[in-house]
Amino acid sequence: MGRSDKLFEVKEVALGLGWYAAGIGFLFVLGLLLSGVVKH
Amino acid sequence: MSVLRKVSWHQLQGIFYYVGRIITWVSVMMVFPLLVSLGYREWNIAVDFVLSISVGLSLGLALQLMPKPKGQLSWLEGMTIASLSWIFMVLVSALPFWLSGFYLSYLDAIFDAMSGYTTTGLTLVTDLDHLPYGVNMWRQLICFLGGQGVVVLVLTFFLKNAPGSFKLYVGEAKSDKILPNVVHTARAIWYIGLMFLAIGTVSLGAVAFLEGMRPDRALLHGLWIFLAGWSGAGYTPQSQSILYYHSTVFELLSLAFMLLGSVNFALHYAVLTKKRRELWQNIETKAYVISIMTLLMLLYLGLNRLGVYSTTFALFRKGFFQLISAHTGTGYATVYSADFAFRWGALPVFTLILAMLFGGMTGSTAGGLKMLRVGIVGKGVIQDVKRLFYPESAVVVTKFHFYSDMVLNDQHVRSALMIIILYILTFAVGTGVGAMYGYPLTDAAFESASAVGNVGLSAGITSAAMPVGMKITYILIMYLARLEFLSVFALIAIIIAGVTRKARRVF
Repeated sequence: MGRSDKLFEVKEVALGLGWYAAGIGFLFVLGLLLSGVVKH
Repeated sequence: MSVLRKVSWHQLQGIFYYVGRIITWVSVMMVFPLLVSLGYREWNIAVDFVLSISVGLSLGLALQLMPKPKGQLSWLEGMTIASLSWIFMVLVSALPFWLSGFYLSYLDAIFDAMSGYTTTGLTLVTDLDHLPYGVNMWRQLICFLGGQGVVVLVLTFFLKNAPGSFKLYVGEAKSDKILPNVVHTARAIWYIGLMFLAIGTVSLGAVAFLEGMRPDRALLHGLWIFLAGWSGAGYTPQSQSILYYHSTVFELLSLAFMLLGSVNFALHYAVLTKKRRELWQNIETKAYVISIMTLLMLLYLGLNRLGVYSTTFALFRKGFFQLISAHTGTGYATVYSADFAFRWGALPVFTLILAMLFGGMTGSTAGGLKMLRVGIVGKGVIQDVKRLFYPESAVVVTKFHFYSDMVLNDQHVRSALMIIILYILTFAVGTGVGAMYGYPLTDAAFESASAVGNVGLSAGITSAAMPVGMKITYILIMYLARLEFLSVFALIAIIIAGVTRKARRVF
């Protein structure tokens, strides 16, 4: 495969991983808040 | 002209040629556990692996003596190769388990090999906590191979320019073509898997090391927990599962990798290549978040009503982990099996059964109905309800986004419902067999959902002492569910056509 049709760019992959971390963090905090609502 | 009449002896030879190719490379994969066992001076185990590799290679190479097919593979051939390869690779991969002496019978070893490849995680091993390093390595590795797709692996690296290879890819229940070329698609899947493998092994290994484990053990545990977590298999090297590590950070990391593993590879590719909008526009992501949050509420209500956990954080820590483990089809646990049966009560257990049946996303390592199907059926129901409120002449159009904007049609809903019905029927059969053997209905349903959703959480039924009939039932359920029925039906059709001439005419 030539350079022009590379499957991934390093910078884009790093940004993508950041989005994942944010997404999982969001889900986690939302879950924690929900459990607090139910508990009290 | 019928489809089955086309399967000639020549084509059967072609099917066996490809199966041989796949078996050969699966046998080569045993070199990894062999090296681990040599490194830890487990000589007996190393001999077991050498023997198993020899048997696998002999079988694989013998099958490759058949002539390689020249033309395009038909859909039936592609699917049959996938389903037949899975049977053979399970039989070969079970050999080192059986020879290790940690399984009561070859059937038990087959159960674990099938459970690993289908990324289920139910196990019949007799003394997990004292399993040799080499055997552990093989158990965890087959989870990764099964999750990523063995056929995909062979396509990627070992079978260049196979005509009709897309049909093999679909046969292994991976249907989204990430890139126009299927070999590039398979490569993208493996690059994504290997990238997360590096991140997962290092991060989990570092935490295990900081928690006081020896460096080599910490690295191996990091690798193993990633392999089975990402794949949604849930095999662990210790019987206490994730509870063994006594670490909140370790739990959080394994939770993140379980979630990431249940994400469609096409979505990973989109997020990692500038198309991040896909993450929140995709119907699967929406359905997944809605499902997780709704089931979370149900779970908390049930646990809170019974007062199982004293603090909000404890309730969240246990509830959220178990729910994500069930929903992603992983089966890691931070509670004991007995807790499901005796402490959690009916509502939380019912919630977990739903999560296990729903599963993760299509085209991921996860099992279950898959969120795309749940989302499409949900949209279909909403569309039908809307029709009730509009004049009869009105045309109700429902759109959804799945890598491109689509208009919902009856074909979408029908395809989704067909698989859902097959899953539910399989779940019912599994539950029925459990109940027939005298297990309580809730436990039988829980275990059956775990097998059909390729999850691996257990209410305590699955053990070496389980009746043979149930072992065979669960093996078949795991196999059918992982390959999403169609390829197995293709194999059965070919067998029927081969056995009866009449069937050829009927089909």
